[in-house]
Amino acid sequence: MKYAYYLGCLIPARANQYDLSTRVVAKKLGIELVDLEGAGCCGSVLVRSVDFRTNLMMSARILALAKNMGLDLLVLCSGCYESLMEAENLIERSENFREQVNALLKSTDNLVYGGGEKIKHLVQVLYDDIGLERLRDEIKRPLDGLRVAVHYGCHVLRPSSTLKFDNAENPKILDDLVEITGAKSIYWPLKLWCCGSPILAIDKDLSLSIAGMKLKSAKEAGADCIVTICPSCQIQFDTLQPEISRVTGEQYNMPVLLYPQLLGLAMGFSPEEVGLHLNRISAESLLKFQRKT
Amino acid sequence: MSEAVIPLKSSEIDPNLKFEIAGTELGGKAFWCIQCGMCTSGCPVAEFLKPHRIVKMVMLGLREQLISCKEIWLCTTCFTCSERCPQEVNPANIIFSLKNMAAKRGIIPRGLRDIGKNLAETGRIIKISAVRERKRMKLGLPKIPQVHVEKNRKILEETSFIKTLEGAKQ
Repeated sequence: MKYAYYLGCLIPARANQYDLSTRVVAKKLGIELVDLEGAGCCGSVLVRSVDFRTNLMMSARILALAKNMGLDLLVLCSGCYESLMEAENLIERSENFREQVNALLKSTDNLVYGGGEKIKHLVQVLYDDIGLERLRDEIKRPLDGLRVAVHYGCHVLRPSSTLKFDNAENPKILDDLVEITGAKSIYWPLKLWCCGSPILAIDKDLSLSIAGMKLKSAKEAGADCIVTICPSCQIQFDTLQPEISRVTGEQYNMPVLLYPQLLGLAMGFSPEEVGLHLNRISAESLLKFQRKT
Repeated sequence: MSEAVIPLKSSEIDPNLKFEIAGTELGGKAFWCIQCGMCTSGCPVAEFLKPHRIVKMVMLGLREQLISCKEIWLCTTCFTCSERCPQEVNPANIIFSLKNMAAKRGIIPRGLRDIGKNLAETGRIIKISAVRERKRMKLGLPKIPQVHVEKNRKILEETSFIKTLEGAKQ
């Protein structure tokens, strides 16, 4: 299994543990990742707020570069995933946009947009292409009884008419993936809420107070940790947790893992191999759940 | 926007606003709104931004009030409003359109201007310093793929992003 691998900006800048744990897990599962060269930022919803066409044009170019390699595009960042899917959707439904994309691609890379290659989020590759059965076979050190607050993040779920990732009001994919590690996905009231990250650069305190509500909800539900698949959400909950506490006046001590970190631990990789030491909030307390070898 | 009542001045009403927005590729049909409030009930920043109210103002054609209001920039882009709207109004994309209109008039919050500058200079919204590169090397991770900065800049120029950014009021 071979994919074009697109990291985006946030992961190499601030969430290398996502890249690290993905590569470790992928290698064990026989997934080959080919770095996508030359691609810049997807634009994301931040650029869309200033000019939607700029955002979707940037995403369209990334898609075209991947298609030119003849490979499905594997992305880790949910922000990238949403932008790329929006771009693909707009290219399909708007002839006008498709022509603009092609005119631009011709001048930048001498490319024509086309090909049936798909955009896949890491968890879709694990869930659909690898499958739960195969993953179960790889679990060597399950984290029995670990209580996980699963956080999908907005930009894989909504708008579901474009993303077609899962049922946006009652998603299952990540819960199922979490539970094959031996952990339990718990009910927590604010599970599907936004983490607040996209407005960090606009109103920091408001952004952090939204994250604070979510952390409180997870804590009150008895979560041992949060598990997510979006680097923005992970940074918001983990790296910025001390700042959230400053805004809300509450302490959370809530470890926040990226899914391949949890999966990696359950597959028997060491905390260091999955980059647990790169998380700001210590996840040491979770290791006691790991079944002894 | 923070007042209880939307001040209506006939001279400010632009009946074309709702059609103009619906006609963009982002879409968003304010004229299908039944003001049920589903959007606002699920909005994480509803204390400040009320999507059903924004949509109503678009219906009324209050272009100037909408473009100059701070609240549109507080949208977290979670798309809960668009997901749940029973009328497929797509409030989130209507808000994107309003922000795009504001940006063309020189209104862009400082945080987004900074992100835009990073993008124009490096092709990324976040600069990746040499220190960060070295951190990756230490972890045994491959070099970060290079960005074609000039090709990216061409996209920013063709879509007038650079011009919009330069026109933003400091």
